[in-house]
Amino acid sequence: MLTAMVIDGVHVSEEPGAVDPASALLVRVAAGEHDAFAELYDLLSARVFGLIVRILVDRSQSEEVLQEVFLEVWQTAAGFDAARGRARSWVLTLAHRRAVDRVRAAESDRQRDRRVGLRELASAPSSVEEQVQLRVDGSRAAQALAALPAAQREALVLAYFGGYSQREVAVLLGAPLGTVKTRMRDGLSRLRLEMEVAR
Amino acid sequence: MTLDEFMELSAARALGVLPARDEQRFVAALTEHPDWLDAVDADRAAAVALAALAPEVVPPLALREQILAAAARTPQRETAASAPSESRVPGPIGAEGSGSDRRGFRWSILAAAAAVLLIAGVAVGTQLTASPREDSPAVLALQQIEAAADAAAASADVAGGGRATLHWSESRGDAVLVASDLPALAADRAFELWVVRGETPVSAGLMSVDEGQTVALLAEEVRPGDLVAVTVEPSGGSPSGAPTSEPILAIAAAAS
Repeated sequence: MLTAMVIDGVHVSEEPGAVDPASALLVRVAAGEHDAFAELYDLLSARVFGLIVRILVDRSQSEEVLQEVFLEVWQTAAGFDAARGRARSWVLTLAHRRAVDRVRAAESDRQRDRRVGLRELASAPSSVEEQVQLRVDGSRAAQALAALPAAQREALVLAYFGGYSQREVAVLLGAPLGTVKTRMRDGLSRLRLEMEVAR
Repeated sequence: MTLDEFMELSAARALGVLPARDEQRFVAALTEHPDWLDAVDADRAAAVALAALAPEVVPPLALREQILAAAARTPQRETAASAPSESRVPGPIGAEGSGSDRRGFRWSILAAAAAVLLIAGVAVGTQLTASPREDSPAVLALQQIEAAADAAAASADVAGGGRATLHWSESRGDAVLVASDLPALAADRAFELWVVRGETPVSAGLMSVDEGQTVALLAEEVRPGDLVAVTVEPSGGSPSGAPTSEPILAIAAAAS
């Protein structure tokens, strides 16, 4: 059965062997094509910037990090292996790491309310009505996340968005470090399963 | 290492919270079990799904032009280096150190030279003049350490000015450094924490300093016998994952 997903507003065929548009562009970027780089930027920048802003909060620093991320995409595109995953994942992984590094590099946390991680816990949608309001792509992740036990969901969200160290996450969750490591492992693996089921 | 143990490392790494020493174990395990790479990729894809929870934000148009222009004058790297998820994770947490970058710090000599005083249960309030955020993880961790039956502490002077006390609990594995009157740094510098076990320092994160004071929960486990040190590094932490300068502070978590 032919199925299709909508990712970032673009229909992506589920047919085996199909290459998603972002991955095709990134391969051309690796070949030095500037127009492909501009197209890739237009396709992904809102998603990437949204993630950076969510983590960093400060707009001016977020803009700096966005530039760092896309420059790194330009410089290291040759390292992207389409067989191992999508360009969108590759770019978002890079963006997440840069944003978190920037949070940790802050001399003082006056600039950023580090409780933004805790705010994420409150805002992770759990009701069906909330899920329906989200965009197709976002709702799939939100639905999958909502299916997880609360303890796993909290550990994932706090770790991913908070910019904290693992030990800080454990302290904030009020759980032993070993328990938090297990929740992150089991939560991520359950999230993966839920995402596949939702397709 | 069992696959279950490895998957804990993989999950932490995918979420961006794997500490430096665990990063070394992760790389070693993956070298020994290359077939585990598929699971690593799956974890990374699942973590990226979390990114979709953040709403999209369109960046300013001027920034687009700036970025495209910057790329136009930037050379690309020709070699197909490993993908970002497998390359060295930059930043203090997860940074790998290369052997050639490590300098032969005589950590044991530093520990002996440091003025080590055993102080039981020093309350945060007696050392700091500015109040740290009461709900910060470091302050919460300090309270938990002080409540532990095996709470311990040791103090030392900071080179360049200031005083620091390390609080730890073996049963918890957590350590918190409280320091005051720290020297002011240039804007492109930061204090980095290190845990030394044996010969090798491992990054335990950057210190967030407010008016010369800090309460810092180390990102690495501290065990009795470890040495905790602080160095001044470039903003963002040492790029090599190893200290690039002599410690300004060294405190031994003495075995009781």
